Amino acid sequence: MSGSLLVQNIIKIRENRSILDNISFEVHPNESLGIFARSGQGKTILSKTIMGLVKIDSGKITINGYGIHQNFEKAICKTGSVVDSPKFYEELTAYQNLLLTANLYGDIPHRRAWEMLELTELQKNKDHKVKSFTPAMKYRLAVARAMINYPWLLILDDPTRELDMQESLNVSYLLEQIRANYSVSMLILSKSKEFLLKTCADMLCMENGKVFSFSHDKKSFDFAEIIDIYSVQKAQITKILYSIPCVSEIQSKEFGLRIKVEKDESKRILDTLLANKVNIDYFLPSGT
Amino acid sequence: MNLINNELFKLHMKKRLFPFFILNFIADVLLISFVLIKKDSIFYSLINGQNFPLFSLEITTVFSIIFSCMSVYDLFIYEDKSGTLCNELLTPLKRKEVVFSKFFAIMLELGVFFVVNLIFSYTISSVFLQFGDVFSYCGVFLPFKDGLLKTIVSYILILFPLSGVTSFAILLYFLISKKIKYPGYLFFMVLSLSIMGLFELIVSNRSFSSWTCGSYRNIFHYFVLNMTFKTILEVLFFTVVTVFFLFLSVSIFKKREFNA
Repeated sequence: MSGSLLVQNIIKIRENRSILDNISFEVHPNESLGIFARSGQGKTILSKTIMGLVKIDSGKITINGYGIHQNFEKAICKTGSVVDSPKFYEELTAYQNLLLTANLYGDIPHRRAWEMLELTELQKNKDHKVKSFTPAMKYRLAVARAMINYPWLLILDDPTRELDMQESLNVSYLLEQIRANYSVSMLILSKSKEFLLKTCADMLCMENGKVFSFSHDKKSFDFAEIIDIYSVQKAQITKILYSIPCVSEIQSKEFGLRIKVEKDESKRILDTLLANKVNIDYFLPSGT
Repeated sequence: MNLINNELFKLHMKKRLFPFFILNFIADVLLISFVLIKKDSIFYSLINGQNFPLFSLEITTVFSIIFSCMSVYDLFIYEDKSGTLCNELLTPLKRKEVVFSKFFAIMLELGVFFVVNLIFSYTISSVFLQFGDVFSYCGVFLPFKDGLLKTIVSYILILFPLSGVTSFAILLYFLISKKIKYPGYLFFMVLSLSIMGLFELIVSNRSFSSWTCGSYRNIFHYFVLNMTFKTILEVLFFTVVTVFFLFLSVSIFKKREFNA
């Protein structure tokens, strides 16, 4: 199936300890699944395992209908990934880096590299050496590289690892754009709950090498409150709200915006908005 | 072919070969200068425009051994260290293809080095040395055409032991990477060249050669002077060694995990 990922009961034991403990989940075509895990819980090793860089002791991984260990080439040929922090040939330009990756697939036209630079808004930096790039630019270039083979499935390991709030927001926009314009399923592993809530339809939690369904960890998301913001400057406020990590949902309403935030964060949000000098008529917590 | 192009591009960007062109050029010029200055020495009677490329090939071969070890460092150890090797494994490439493409890229670079050196050494020796009546090398005398053919064939044949050297350096990296994750540049160069030197000493007393100046010279002279059945055996020996080393490297590489 195009853009599907099926992980069944995978176990990875290292030094008599289960790093991946009977993990099972599924990403359906055109869906985005987020896995929330704090540092050291096994995000990177899980993504590397799915991409075949780490061998499993038992279980089965199927990408696009092909077993990763039985039919690696077919499973991977329509899969893009960014595992660990992205690495490049630092002395080469962004365009050269993309061409090198395109050549590995054999049948990718060079104009695809240019298209991907446009997608990630790096066209102006086409001829700049990667060593001069900021972490955010490098991440966007890594996404461009992951997209170069027209993937059906995109696996992203901790996209916000080295990024600040604004940069995380930009990556979130980029992923939304990719989902809207290309038929790509996504598996995103991150330690940023807010990022996952913004970018993924479904979510799982990972702890001590085990994956739990959303409901098991629901308590960590349950204590949210609703705030109605009455204002005509909806676009400006939305932009500011996106940079605030505790905001999990923004809805546009006739009166302005209705937002979902973590409990006891309303004062902080109001302060941030006022600091940015936006005009607010009313700021009403709990949807009152 | 795309894969080999990629590796060639990376090697080209590293600009490793350029200093060797310069060094080889300097060595050739120094050798010619020495011959011209010391007209009373034995060299003056030995070296002429016809056989100079063969003397030059001996120098080129030494540089090539160093160059192949440096290239193995750049394409394997440096890429492993910088994480770009891992990127290649995230594409639908077999690990065998990764190893072989890097190996062939190094061999192609060596081929370019040899072709340039052959043309260059013929040109400068024709200009500065007398062309000579006959091709003479280590006591063998041949007419011009046969001498030229022998020179070209020698340049091609010497690539076989060099492929053995390159594949050995690759295998060495995979063997030591089990213990030392990212060996340093100097460490790898000293280790690989020392082991090759040791190998040279051990095999220098091979039965089929009576030369006394070491196996490297033996192999060289053997290829140059005795292109017979034993030459074919030598070529086969180095081909088998190369293939064996490469497949051993691939089997180690296949088991390798890229852990966090």
